[in-house]
Amino acid sequence: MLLGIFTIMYVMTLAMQVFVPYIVRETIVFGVTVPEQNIKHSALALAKKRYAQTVGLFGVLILILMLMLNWSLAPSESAQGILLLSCLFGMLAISMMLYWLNHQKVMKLKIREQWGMNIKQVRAVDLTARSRDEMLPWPFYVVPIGVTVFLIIFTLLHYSQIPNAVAVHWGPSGAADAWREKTYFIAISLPLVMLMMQCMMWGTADSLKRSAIRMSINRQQESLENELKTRKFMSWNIALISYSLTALLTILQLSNIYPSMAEGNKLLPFFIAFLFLILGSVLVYAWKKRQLRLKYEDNVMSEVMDIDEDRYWKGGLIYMNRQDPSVFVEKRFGVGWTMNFANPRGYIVIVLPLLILLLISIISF
Amino acid sequence: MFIQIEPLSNVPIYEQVTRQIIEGIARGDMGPGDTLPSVRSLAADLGVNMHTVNKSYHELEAKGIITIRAKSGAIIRSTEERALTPEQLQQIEKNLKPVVAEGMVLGATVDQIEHMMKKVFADLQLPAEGV
Repeated sequence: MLLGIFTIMYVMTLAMQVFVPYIVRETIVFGVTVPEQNIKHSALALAKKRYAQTVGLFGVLILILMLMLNWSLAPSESAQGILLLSCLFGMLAISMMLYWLNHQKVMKLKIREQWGMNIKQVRAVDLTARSRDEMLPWPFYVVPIGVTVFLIIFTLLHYSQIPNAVAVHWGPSGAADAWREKTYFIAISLPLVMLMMQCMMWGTADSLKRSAIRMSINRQQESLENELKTRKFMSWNIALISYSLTALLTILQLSNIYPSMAEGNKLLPFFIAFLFLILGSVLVYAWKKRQLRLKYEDNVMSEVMDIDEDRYWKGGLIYMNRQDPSVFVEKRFGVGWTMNFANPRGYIVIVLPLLILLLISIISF
Repeated sequence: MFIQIEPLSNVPIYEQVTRQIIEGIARGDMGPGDTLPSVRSLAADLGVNMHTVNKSYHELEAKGIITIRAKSGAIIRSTEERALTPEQLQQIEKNLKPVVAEGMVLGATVDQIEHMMKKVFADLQLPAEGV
């Protein structure tokens, strides 16, 4: 069971790593800004192809190795967990290394051929775009918090009914595998974790809304439409994750109050459904991104280009720009968004709930 | 209405924003009663500090082009509200002076400068064609 689920996860992650260069915008190649005027340089297409082939090959080899080791050693459940995770991280490490090598290569090419040296850098903004932004309003993210508050009250009212051992951790088969002695804090620790996660989702959605609507200077109208669609999709996606997380954790908490709910493997379908929902939403997002990215037939003939922000991206991966009020920016290599680490707001919205969440977990396990 | 800024230009960003908004209104891309985006969101979209946009909005307010209301944001004034005052006219003349002087020094004639003025006027009055 664990192996099956893990293999699916591994294959999905691998596919993502392989296709990343074809999902992110074409003007960012391995984390380096390439002016639209040079976008069809033959070295770029070749580097992307080589990267995809190499990562794909190593990924499949590691998968085969993982399956063979698993069958020949037949490890215990915890040893199996370590084996599977180290294979996953091994694959990710290889793809990161290849990313890094290509990042250096493209950077050198850019400097050598002086890309964008004499092109004016311009940023375009549509003053009416904000009024057309269709991201979900905040009450959508607050409703799940209401559920949590209700759940905490409900738990406290039924405190005497809860068995003396409270499940605090669930194994891969969907059955609880760690318990703690009942106290008021332990009884509500799960809803508290849930609350922190919901706050993070809300904070993420809100910060995304406040983040920049980015346009491409040479394809203004088209890029604006794509951006608005992406934002709308993202806000629905976050709401979906927040709601399904709420549903899953509510079921777990109720099963603590009514232990008959967790008998046998009754909880397993919920875990699997949740897992596939999360993976599915990432895949759909990647597919959307690919659909909504600007397509270039040829190098663009233009006197202007978008602003080259390479200097704010440490290693092409970590974004630090003090001047930029946006909390989130699109990742340059990968699917989704990343934080502006120079913006204190991000720490309040994301890092603080995360720390509280970790604290609750450490105390209750 | 699109505006474009060049962060690496010699012209300060707040001034670029001010000029472009004024030009947009002159072209008729935005009209009386239209609301400008909030300082926060325009700053995010431009990727610049909030103070920069704030400065630009206050300049536009000082010029009598927009009204800033605490709740509803920055609204473009109607034509009656921004009826030209003698002080404003004086200010425009003052701003024009160095430009005309530069033209004179370089040998531009009155006719040429007059023609230029008319051309700029006409260009702005043209209906915006798919910017």
